[in-house]
Amino acid sequence: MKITGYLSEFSLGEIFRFLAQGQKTGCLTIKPVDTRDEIASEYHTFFHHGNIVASTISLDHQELQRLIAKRGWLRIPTIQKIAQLCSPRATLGLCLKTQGALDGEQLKLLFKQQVLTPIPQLFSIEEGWFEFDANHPLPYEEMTGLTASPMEIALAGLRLLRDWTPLLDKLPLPSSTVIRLIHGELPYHLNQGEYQVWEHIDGTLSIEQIATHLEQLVLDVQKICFRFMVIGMVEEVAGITAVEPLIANHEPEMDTLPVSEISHSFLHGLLTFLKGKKNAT
Amino acid sequence: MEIMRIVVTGPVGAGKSSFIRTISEIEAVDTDRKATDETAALKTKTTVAMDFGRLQFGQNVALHLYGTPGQERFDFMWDILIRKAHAFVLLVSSHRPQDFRSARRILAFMRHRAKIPMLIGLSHADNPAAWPMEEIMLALGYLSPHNRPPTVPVNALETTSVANALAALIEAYARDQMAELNRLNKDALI
Repeated sequence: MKITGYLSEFSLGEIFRFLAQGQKTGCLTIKPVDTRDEIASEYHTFFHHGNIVASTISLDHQELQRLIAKRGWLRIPTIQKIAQLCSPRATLGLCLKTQGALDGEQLKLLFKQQVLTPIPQLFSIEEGWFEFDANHPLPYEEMTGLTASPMEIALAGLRLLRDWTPLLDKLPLPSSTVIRLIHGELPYHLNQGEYQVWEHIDGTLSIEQIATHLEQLVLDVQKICFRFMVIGMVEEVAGITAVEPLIANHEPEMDTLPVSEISHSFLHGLLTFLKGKKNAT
Repeated sequence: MEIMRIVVTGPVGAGKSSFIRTISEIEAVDTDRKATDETAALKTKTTVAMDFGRLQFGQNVALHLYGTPGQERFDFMWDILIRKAHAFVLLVSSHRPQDFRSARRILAFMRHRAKIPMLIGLSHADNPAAWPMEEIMLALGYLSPHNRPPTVPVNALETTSVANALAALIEAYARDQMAELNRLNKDALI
């Protein structure tokens, strides 16, 4: 399975939610349209059952080795020799740990450098093409054996975001209400601003009303609610706008009609009629 | 006269007006007007109030189809429509991931307003850029394959395809009705 698109259509946060909730395994490639020097030409993030297991900017399967060598912990030829002692389906990080070459703390530092620090910065990419390939094999040579929740990384990335322009059309509408999908203990640590908004989400107040209660900008509350949507804490429900109806004179007056149960004979007759239409063409 | 009312909804350009025109036996009441905002990039005209179509299949029995306005700022109309509907169809363009967000918002609105049977119709499923059905369902928030509404590919311009989608919805309605009846019978026995 491959899905493709542009970040302007389906934002990175939404992609992360999709991959996490679908418990997907595969490779997400992002090719930024932006050509600033500090931005690589492509980024690969690897998922295993919905969790992030590695991140690279090339597919040469040697980035983790270079990171280890750069820190002066092991030389590349040594890493490769040790790796031969492990199963080809063992992650390089765990292989080096079980062989006593690296310890758990070193793996955590590597994972932070490889995944936890760079991925949130991807949320600042203004436009890019993405592809998720579920058939891409996992790169065991690039994996430390540690995993990260895409939701937590998305939350971190969206908190870091300064320019929200590319996401403006994806934010929940000011007239919408948001309903909680999580009850009881919160799965993520919220900052003060987020917690205040969370406290006001009761399924009846619109985003506009929450902003008024908190004396905050509507846009700021929209951003927070978008973050909540991405991490699966709330769902947006469109609200009724106060715009006057533009109903033409010739339309049926639906508002005056009662809702009644449909009879079995009606359903049977309609089904027979529709099946006739299917067969007639 | 016994009338069943079905609402056809979905994001701009999903094929709601075509769906109704294709199956309606009367000239569908068309409220398309020249699009003036971002919708204009997608289609030159958009539905500003609602579409209406009718299918009379016997004496005193008819199916009425109502299409929601394409632009979300007219969503007051959805409220009127959904409160009076027996079932609804959500049309989603399979090749436009940017519409999944809007489809999800509409879906949440509909489900909040009325607990009625529904069907998801996936249009443009043969487009090379179309997402697979499973993935679209996930993007719409259906995480479990066991708890999803019936979903069918729809070509809104083909009578066969639209009739097939409506038949699937009617079957879903009948199943719901039967389940409700069984529940009432069970309650009565207790």
